[in-house]
Amino acid sequence: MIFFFSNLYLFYNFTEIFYTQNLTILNKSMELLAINWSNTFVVVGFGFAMVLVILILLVFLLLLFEKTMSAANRENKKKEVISVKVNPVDSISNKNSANGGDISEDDLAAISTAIFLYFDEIHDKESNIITIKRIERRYSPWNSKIYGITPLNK
Amino acid sequence: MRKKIYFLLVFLFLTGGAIALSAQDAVSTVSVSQENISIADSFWNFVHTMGFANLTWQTIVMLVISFVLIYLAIVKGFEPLLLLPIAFGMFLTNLPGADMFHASLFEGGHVHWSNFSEGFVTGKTGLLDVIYLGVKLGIYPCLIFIGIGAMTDFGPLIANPKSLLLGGAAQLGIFATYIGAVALGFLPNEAGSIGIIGGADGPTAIFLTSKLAPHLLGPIAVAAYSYMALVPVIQPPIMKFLTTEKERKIKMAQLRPVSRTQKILFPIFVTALVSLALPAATSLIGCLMFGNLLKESGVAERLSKTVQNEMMNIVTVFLGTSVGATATAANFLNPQTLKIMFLGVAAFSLGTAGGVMLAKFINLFSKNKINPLIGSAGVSAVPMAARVSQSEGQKADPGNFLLMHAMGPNVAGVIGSAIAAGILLSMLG
Repeated sequence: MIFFFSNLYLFYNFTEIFYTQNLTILNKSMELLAINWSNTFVVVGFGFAMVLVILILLVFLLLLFEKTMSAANRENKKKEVISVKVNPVDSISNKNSANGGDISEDDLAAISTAIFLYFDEIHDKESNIITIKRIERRYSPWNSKIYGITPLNK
Repeated sequence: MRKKIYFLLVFLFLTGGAIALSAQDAVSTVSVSQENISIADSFWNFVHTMGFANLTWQTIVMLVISFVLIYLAIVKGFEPLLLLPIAFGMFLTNLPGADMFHASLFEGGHVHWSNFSEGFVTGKTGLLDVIYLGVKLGIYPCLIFIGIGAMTDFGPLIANPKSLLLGGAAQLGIFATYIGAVALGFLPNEAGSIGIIGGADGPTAIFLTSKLAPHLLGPIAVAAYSYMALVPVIQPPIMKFLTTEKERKIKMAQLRPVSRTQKILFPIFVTALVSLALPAATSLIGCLMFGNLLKESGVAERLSKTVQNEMMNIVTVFLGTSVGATATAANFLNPQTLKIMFLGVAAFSLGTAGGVMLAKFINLFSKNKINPLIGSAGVSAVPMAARVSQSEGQKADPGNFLLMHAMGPNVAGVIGSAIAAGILLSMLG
């Protein structure tokens, strides 16, 4: 008898648990159904597409940059080549290369000496105006040197 | 020594109790000027205002969490510059009776200015309430973006424009997590704020959350910064799973040099283009590019240095402490926080996978192969994510240097997440 009632009690409990669980699952699925999924997917689809579209536009912008800049660089290089042709140093090297060799040692020595003298004498060209600029600093606790000095303990 | 301390404590306790009792029994009322003040009542009132008397289990748990975060920042070195202020803000706000922060002043997603000004008179407006205004009004994230812009070199991105696409693909995490958050019962505005964790960009996450779902600011900021610190742990398994050994060994051609003119024009054009297409993203992108222009122009070196160092540091302190202050027991200790933590890691993982998969997809059509490992750097987290790409690449081939290549998608991720934030703000705000 006790066994029967205990079994009955267990059965009742199981059915209740089963029922409650099913109800929870049902509630959950109802919640999921209640969500406006179409809106969610519109936000996701449109949002992600917008990110990609704006970044693709930026890619094109950068590629345009690259082309414009490389074209400008090419023109600059052409100008450089033209200016280089009138350079006497290059004409020496061209002459030498035309002779089938590099710049001769004498030419190199002459060029190096010229460069050395040029840079060595630069300092001689001074303005000859020697002045002492008076820098006046107003006293303030922020710039006072005394605050930065560690007292010497003897 | 210990015995002496115990004795002293017991003595103090007994003395306090005796004073309280005697005050209650003998000196019940003392007339001071015209008012009757009960010393015993005053004493008990004082005792009741003490933090110890107001400790609840929730506040204790929050204090413990703040201590764990402080430990992680100091001992483990997890993003200490941000996690430490956040953790200390959390610690301050959860000290009972300190009244440093009042969430009620910002209820409903807007500032209750009348209560705010009343609080100044009555002294009930806390310090952190005032500092938090910078977050609420969207000031700090933008100032941080100026600093980030000044510290960022967009050169690798300009040299390899394809990087922008990788940065865009990594935003997949944001939108995929949005679906997950909606399925878990979050409202669309909350889901958008949770999804932005996938952008791996702290200021952007704070900016968007403060606008869309301010009540989730604490958990979202903690999740975002914690996962950013855990990028070297989260990303490598996903990168290895999605790539083959051969792909990881791909060596990329050296990047072309970028002229100064290009670097100067880039921030101006990007701001113009993004702002015209998406005005909601202007504050973030505009500030980022303004900071970059200060640096690249070369004529405002002092300003550039200031925004990179002093301003950035000051704002970080304010931002961290005020964001941490929002993590009160009521806001933090609920099942939502667990869900946010779970969705945050999902967002990071999906973002990483998105970048790697797009790099593999581009390789199907492109002559110049991309190492898919750089795709994972598309989740902002500058420069941590790029460093992870570099280290994973070197594990496959020690002679492979991917850092500069990975910096392209990495900075593209910053732009991408700011654009995504702008889109979510304009659609859900």
